[in-house]
Amino acid sequence: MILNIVLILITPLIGLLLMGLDRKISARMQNRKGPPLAQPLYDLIKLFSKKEAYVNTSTIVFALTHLMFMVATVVLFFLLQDLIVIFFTLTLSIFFLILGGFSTRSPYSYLGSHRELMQLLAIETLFLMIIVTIGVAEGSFSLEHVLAERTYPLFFTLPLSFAALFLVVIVKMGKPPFDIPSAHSEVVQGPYTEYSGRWYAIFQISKMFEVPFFLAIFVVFFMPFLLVGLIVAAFVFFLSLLVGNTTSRTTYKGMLKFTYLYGIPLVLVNLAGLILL
Amino acid sequence: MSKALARSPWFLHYDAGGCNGCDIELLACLTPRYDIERFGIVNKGNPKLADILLVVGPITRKSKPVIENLYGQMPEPKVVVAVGSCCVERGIFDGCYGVDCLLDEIIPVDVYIPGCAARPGTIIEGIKKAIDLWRTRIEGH
Repeated sequence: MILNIVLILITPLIGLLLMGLDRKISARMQNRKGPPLAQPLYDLIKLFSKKEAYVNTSTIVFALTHLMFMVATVVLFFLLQDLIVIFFTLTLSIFFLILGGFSTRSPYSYLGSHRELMQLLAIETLFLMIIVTIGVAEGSFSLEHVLAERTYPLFFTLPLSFAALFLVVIVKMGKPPFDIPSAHSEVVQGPYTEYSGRWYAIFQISKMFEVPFFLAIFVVFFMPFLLVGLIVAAFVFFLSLLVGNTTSRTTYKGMLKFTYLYGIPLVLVNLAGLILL
Repeated sequence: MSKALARSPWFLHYDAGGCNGCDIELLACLTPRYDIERFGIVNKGNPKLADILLVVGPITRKSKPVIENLYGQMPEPKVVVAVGSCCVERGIFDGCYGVDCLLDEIIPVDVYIPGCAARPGTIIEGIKKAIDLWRTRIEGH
């Protein structure tokens, strides 16, 4: 129990470190020196020292609710709760981000929210199906039950679901080729366009919870062997940076095709294998 | 704490008119050769998140209200930098029918970067001065 609480508390710190590594490694891939590792922390300090300004109160309420549900997702995950509930809180969190974008009358914010909705459509179906395969393989959606007395990793029974989860994370990282909701040259900052100062920092903080959460799911797939899981998670993170730095942006149709054409068949084949064998 | 204060200057650049020369030199600062991201400087095309406004070129009649609007949308504390001879003193476009006024006649300018076109090295030095000024403003805020 104490370990779970410690994990929840260090999650934002790991997120901060990952965001710093993200910028440093991306810079090295482009043959640049890059900002210091603590740059995301400097960004946060800067954003909180700016003068407060906002469009209307509802945008702030939605931003705070977005952060609240993102933190709830991480807390539920590390307290080993039901995977379906974790999925719903995650979806709710993104849903409030979208509502925040829709609640201003800025065209960029509006367009960005539409694209975020498309991203939700592209990955949430796949993510839910992956959770269903875990439930079918283990007979329960409770993480506590899934992780209790394991002798072999989940990866051995769900290799194709694991591959599909990789597709989900590639899309969810918000990097090229799937940086569609916040495409800098098309929709400025997407749903975040109308936020400034500390209210923009809210979304940076929520990213600090989101990125480690998605990497932690990879660890679950290798669970009796924690070290293997951590190495795989680090490799997935590096691979998402590599993909981000070597590809150019696709359209939302490309994103939908990517997850629906490759992701859903992978999960379905895995599910059929589980039921038949 | 005060060391960590001004280490994340995000800039917004606006091309008010002219030949685009300084614009290209400015964006060259972001390339691997000069890499101003090592100081934490990021080009955010959004006035609401910007700390430094970099204006390039002479102020034309069409761009004057846009600059006023962008400056108004930037939250305090903020710094304005005029890049290139055209923006500082109209330069080669002095007397043209479309050129309206100087930048410091509409918004307060803090740093002037001369040159036609301003070299990336000069621009980085100017941005460094702007960051120092910005730091004192954050501390006073």
